[in-house]
Amino acid sequence: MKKTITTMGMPATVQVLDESANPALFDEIFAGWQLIDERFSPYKSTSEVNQINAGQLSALNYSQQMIEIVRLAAEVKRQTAGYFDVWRQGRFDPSGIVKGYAIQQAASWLEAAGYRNFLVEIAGDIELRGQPSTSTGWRVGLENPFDRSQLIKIVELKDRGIATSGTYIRGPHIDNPISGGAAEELISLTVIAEDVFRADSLATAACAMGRAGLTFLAQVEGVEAYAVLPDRQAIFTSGFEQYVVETS
Amino acid sequence: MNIIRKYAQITIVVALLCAIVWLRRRSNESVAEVSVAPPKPTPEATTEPAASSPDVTPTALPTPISTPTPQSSGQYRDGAYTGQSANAYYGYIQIQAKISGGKLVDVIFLDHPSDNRTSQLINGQAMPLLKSEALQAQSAEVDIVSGASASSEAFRQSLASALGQAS
Repeated sequence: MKKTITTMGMPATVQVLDESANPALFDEIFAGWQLIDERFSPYKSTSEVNQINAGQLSALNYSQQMIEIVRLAAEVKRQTAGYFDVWRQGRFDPSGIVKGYAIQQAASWLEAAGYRNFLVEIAGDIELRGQPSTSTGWRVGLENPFDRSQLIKIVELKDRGIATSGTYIRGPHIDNPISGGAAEELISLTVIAEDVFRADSLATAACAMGRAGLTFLAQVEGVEAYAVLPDRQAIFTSGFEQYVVETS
Repeated sequence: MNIIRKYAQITIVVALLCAIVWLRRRSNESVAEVSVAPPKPTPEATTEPAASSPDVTPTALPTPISTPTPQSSGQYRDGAYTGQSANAYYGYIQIQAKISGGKLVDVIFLDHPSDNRTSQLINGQAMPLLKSEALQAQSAEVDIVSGASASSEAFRQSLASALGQAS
């Protein structure tokens, strides 16, 4: 059972392979995402994020979900030596982790509901659990940043999260919070981790480090990465190959 | 990273030199000990997801592994001696010094700071391995695609919509 919608301004797909899948599960997940959007959207004037930035909401009155996001953001900032920071130029902007968080929430909900073989995707970041019955894992293609109709890699994933960050669409929009400049050295960066929240936050942080982001990721336990450089070469962590499916 | 590695190495070398000097002064006493100064442990930033800090406690007392045998030549008593754990910045290091024929013949690392992946790289491992390749188009079927383009299209649409509301 598979459904694609738009949420938080992004395309999203939920696919559940378990035979017991109930169509109502999509409604639950999409309603949860709607709440997240209303709370975290920078484009909705009444969102909690905008209230915080307008100085209209004291930390004492943050919603439980906002507290959770703030806590997660602090943890990611520490793990990435400040290269991931939701506070930039005096503004609170957690959008770098809200997507991963929303996917993770949906996956947790599906798992609690007893589903074992599913994927949840928002805008190219994916949480994958279990596998299709005909294979040993979900087949995920990595988009060619120079030609979106092409794939440059195929990986097989089971119980993993995968996230891709990149400068190739909006230009160097991922700013280096340490040096203040734009990080242009990685055209795209794909991270595979034990879950999509971790993959997403590390991909965002590592992309801001430029090429050194690969060295950083190579030292993180349980994480593999594949990056495309401006000269159309790819560099990747040595453990990445364990996921690769060779094709002709 | 290289600077950290050098500091760790310098710490060890200095500790060994201090130990050797100290051994020379105490060569006539009953128990010779190799020890390194134990600084107070401090919490360090790690790259591991941490619900709690790694639980690392230094060994309290240096203990001789084997009974030293009296010998007349050389400056040290033969045997194996374990130093106190020392804070090597990324974790704790503890060495065992082996004395044979009155001389320092071997030093073994007993305590690698293995609770932190970065420390494993410092303690004798090679730099993290990265590989490179040219891009190659793949032609097989997949269940789903990971890329950054979808969010950018959505970004453009969303921005246009927001600006539309604002005007």
